[in-house]
Amino acid sequence: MGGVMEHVWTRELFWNVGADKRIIVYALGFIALACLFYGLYRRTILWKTLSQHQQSISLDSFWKRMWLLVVDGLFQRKLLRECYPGLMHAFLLWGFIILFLGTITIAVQEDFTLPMMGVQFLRGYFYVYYKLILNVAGLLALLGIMMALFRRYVVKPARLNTNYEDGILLIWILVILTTGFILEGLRIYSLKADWEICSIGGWIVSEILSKIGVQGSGILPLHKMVWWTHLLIAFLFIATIPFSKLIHLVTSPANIVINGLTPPAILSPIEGFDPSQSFGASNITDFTVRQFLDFDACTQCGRCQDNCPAYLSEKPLSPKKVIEELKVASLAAGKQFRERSGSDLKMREGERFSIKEGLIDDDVIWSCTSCMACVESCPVYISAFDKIVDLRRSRVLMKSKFFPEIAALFRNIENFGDSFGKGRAFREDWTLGSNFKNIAKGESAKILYWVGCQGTFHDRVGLIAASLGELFKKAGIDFGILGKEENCCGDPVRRIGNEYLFQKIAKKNIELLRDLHVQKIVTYCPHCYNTLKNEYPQLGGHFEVIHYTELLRTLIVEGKLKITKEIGKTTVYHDPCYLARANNIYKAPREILKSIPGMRLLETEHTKKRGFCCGAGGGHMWMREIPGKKINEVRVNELTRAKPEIIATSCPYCLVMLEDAMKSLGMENVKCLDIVEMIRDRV
Amino acid sequence: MKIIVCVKHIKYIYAQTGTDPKKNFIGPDDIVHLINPLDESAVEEALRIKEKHKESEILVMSLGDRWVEEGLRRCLSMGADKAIHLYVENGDNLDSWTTATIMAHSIRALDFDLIFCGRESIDDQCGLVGPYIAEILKIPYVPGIIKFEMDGVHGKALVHRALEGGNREIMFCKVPALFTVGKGMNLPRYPGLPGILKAEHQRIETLDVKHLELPVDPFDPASSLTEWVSLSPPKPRRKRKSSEEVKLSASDRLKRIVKRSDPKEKEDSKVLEGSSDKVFSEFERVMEENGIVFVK
Repeated sequence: MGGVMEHVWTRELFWNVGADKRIIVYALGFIALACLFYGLYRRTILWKTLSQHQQSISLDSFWKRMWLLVVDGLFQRKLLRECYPGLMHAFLLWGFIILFLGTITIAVQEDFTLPMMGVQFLRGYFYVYYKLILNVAGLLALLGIMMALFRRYVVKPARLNTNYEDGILLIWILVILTTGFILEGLRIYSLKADWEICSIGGWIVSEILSKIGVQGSGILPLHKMVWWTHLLIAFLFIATIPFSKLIHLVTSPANIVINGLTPPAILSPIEGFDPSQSFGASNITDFTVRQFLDFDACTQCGRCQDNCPAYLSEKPLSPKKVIEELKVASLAAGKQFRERSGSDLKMREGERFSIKEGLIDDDVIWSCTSCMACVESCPVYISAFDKIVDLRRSRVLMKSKFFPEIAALFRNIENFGDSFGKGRAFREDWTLGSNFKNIAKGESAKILYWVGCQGTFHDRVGLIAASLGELFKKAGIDFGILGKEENCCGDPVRRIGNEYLFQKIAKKNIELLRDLHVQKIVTYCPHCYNTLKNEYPQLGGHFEVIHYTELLRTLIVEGKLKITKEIGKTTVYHDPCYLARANNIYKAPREILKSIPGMRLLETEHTKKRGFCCGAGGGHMWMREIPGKKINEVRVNELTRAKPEIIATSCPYCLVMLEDAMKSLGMENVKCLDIVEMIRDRV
Repeated sequence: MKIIVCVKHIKYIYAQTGTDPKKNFIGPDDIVHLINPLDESAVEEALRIKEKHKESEILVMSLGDRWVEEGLRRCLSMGADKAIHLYVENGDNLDSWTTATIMAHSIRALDFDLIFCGRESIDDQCGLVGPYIAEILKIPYVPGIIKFEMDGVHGKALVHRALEGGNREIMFCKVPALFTVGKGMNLPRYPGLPGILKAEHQRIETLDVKHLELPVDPFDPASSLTEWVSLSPPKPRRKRKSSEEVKLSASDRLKRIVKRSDPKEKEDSKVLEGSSDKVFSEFERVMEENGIVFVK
């Protein structure tokens, strides 16, 4: 390093500013932190006061949550799914974390090791590497912020909406970083510390200054001015975190920890139906603290919108907008509340901040297909889905405002016990020609085969359900059906928002299953699977539930089912939302397909956990088409791009929807088959 | 406005999958308990009137056994204010006139401006109880309305009736009166949860029919105007889906459905069997041979 001795490799802290100014620095820092904590405190109190629905926040599986924080928070796993925006944010995050640690290191030396033990470790090689790392970090952050400015103001992707707050924050960060480098450069230039190449950024600035030939007595005062500017804007940055979008620096990691382990497909039940309660989200006060945290953790990045099948089919729903509108409404309610209450911060009796009629259009709410793509794609585990269901609940339970065909669905389930309205008397017709054990009639079996309404009453799907039963028989599984005692599991009712009817049905079903001492269930339909497995425990029904793809795979692996005949066709597998995304079942069906000799399995862009919904969820099987393109047609167009001969799936809804789409698009060369249909004639 | 709505809670038979011919093959799974849909429309109409005339009170009344309570609570959850349950154990045997007598007697004791009923019920499809009640109470009556308005200026009701071909009859009717609601009048609302929860605990006034002082004894068969003889199935026999007989193969069941009985071979006859292609070409040949069809 230019012949300078190692012991010189250090720098004087508070050079040119004066070490006596340390008190002021710490005082200002303290004030900044106090503002930060005060702001966060105020926000938390606001949530707690506004939220009339107490919901406990459990931190069980603490270390798993910490692990999520490391993987998604620190290592930005979900963000790095996309190259440019992922790296852009990662550079910023990592850069700032390292710079922050660097500042801590200085404090450690100045306030602990030096005065207490006389140890000054920021010297020599340690100092060199320290400086190198910090500069690389700073340059990465600088790169990140430039990428961000470029993306927001030049590329202007559709999913970002930009206002002045975004611009101010980006420029702010840019100024903090550049003043940092300028300071370093001015010091290096002034001290002629040419050895300090390790401080890359500052060294470059210094070289520029020397090339320009800057001289004179103005350098030292300039350095002082820039130093104080840098300090003040950095502290101001910290102090205003709670009052701008920057709150996500705190709320996003908090959300990862608090909501990161919440399974996406489970909705929270309404506990105890009290007539004076407000059901669903009609008012801001109906949201829980967790939901307020969700609002504050959102930075409007738009990934949810980019993955929402309704939005991608030009329907009015944008999950990002829903969260945004609710966040703005919550903040407005908070402001109103503070103005009214002053320092009191207590809610008055019956005070509600109702969500303005028309804030979120009915069409927006009913467009959702409950596919949970928004939840899966959110880097900080915000669920737009449960807010939409809460809004639905308020319309169904409180205002009774929904499509007449939905009312017909409810009536059918209430009167006939199934979503088709055909009735109990016909519930065993699908078993025509087969001879299955009937657990409800007293025949004992180890595992219950729960068919679901589609398998029972739909002509085509019923044949598949029967074939599945025959396959089980062939493999020697000891199973039974419920026959006429089977009722709708309640899934569509819950997704539409009729929590009361759902709990009524579910409790009846649970009682029946308990009376029959059922322990193990295999379901045909993924919706039934999800409800029985994940939602019935909320109401006291604990059963071991598996999906038929898991069972078939086990049977094939164990050799109890041997697929002998060939298939020789290219197939693309469409992942049902409730299997792949909600319950992580995407390997089993593929293994089943691959075990068919001659199978050529293709994948599409939207696959596995990033799959594209067929459009039937959320009650859409019975609902009118919301204006926009048809989701199932959009999906079929994507699936048939690679020209497969078969579209395979393992869900009755997907089967019906995709087939319908193929018919309406006039696709003759492609067949839509369930996995069962593909293997039933080949075992 | 005081509105009374007469509601019938029916045991609707939607299928015949039983095995007992004496019960006309109606099994226990074939019955569903419902409020008659047109009566629900009647309740809905009463609710709409209440929305316009805020001082109104709606009373729902129904005759039958304990199942009726469920229906009454549903009406209460939709928004009705009061409910009266006329309790009778075996109400199925009462004919329309007796039913109307009992209900009219109970209504007579009450104060009312309007009475609404459904035009007919989907099980018996008589449509008589409404007119009989109006006759007994000696009030005017309009059947099958599809639109209702209170004309406060004239103190009358303005109603529409649907006629054939889209024509409408528009009438004034003096109040108090009875109206029966026709199909297509309105779409009954689905009750909101606060209504449902409130209705669960609301008091329903139960009157035992045996203790009512009626001009005639409803349980005396002689007081009925009609006598029920039997219920015969339609000829030719309707398709019967017997879920008890699932042991038959699909082709056997199809044969039964299509032929309605096992085909009996007559003399000099031949039964054509096989795939539809074969049967048709065979049929063609037969027609040709017998000179019925000439093929050039």
